Amino acid sequence: MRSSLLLASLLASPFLLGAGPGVERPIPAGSYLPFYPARAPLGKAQPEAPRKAVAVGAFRLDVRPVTNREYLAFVKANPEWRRSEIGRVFADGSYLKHWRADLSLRSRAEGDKPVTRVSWFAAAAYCRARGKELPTTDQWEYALDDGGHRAERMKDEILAWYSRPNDKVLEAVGRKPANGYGIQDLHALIWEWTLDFNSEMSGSEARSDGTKDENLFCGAGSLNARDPSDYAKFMRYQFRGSLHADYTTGNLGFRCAREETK
Amino acid sequence: MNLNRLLTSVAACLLLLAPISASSLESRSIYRSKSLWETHAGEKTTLVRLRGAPVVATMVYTSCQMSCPLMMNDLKAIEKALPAAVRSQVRFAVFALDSANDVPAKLRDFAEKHGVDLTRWTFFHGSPASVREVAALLGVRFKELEGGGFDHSNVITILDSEGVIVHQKLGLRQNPDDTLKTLERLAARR
Repeated sequence: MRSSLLLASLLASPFLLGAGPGVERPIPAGSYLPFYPARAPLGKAQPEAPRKAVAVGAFRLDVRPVTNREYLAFVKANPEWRRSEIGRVFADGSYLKHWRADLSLRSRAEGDKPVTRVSWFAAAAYCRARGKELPTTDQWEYALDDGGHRAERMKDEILAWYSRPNDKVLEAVGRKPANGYGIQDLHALIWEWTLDFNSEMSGSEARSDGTKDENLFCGAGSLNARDPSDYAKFMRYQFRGSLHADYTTGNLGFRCAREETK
Repeated sequence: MNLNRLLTSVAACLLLLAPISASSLESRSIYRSKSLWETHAGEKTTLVRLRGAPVVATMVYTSCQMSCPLMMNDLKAIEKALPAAVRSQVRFAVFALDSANDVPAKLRDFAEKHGVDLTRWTFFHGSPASVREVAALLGVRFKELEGGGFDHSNVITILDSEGVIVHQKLGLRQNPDDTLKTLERLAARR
């Protein structure tokens, strides 16, 4: 098992279809400019620059999003996460609605598609069962940023995807070229849960000082953003800010990550 | 239709026969969470310990200078405004956002500083994963800030005796009337 995984990760070069379930790639430490503003606690000096680079430590990230087939194996082993068993507090009524039944997919082809209609609780439990965790928002955005590699082209691709209506039929994972870190499908297939999706305050949230942070909202607000042209990042920021942990939708899935073992 | 009704009543009978256990908790109960906690008294526990009484729940951190004292004042005002017969039934659960610093001893100091009655109030310390899970269950958004402290939403949640969220109030110094009415209704139901 271990040697086949090792073999698979050796073969998981960006353009090969060799990446098996849960295959990861190492992501080197570095930093990136997040969309959200830097803030210090109230009463302390606020950072001079509203946005500054965030350091991200080395970690390992799944090459691809988790598929229906992989998720099926998880619910087989963990009955409490089956569609018929799950507590409504952990996932809303459309959890895994696209499956034929508790333990069966609608077709073989579904198995290769990213699992969607999973809540944050379910996604987090899956990753924990694999000895991993959901990536943090910083890790996920940093992996997408790819050290600025092909940044302009990627921005255009992402906006083109965001502006398309949701695809009725999802593609299988791993059909598109990997980025510079060897990671696939970070965009143009599904949106993904992050561990701390709820660190992004939605517009109606009362802030710790009881005032609203005008820096963060649409229209004039987005002009204050780090890079107003980076509307794609702004959309992801707003999207995560709108989620609740029990939400499930047909275009929201996940992948797992873990700390680099020292 | 008739078959459905029959099945429903069979299911209802089975439910009545089911032993009381975590799995018999209502589907929407947050007490289904397996997250581990330690109380201010140092007792290891899970959320199920809160079962059996209406609960007022919130999340704060003890080194917080601005919003958390206001939140504590809001909770104490709710406690004070309840009729005595209701007050004696209601429990207060305060979850610490700051896993690193808000250990049980800190929580005891915090409770003492606020002069709350620890027969009704419980303060909880948990791992970052436990904090994240309860924040997700209560819909609390939070972010650890540079140089310590947290940015977080101020939410008061009312849970019924089974741990189902029945009422939430976002923001500080809100009019507590509907919160009080909810607690009175829950207490009367018991």
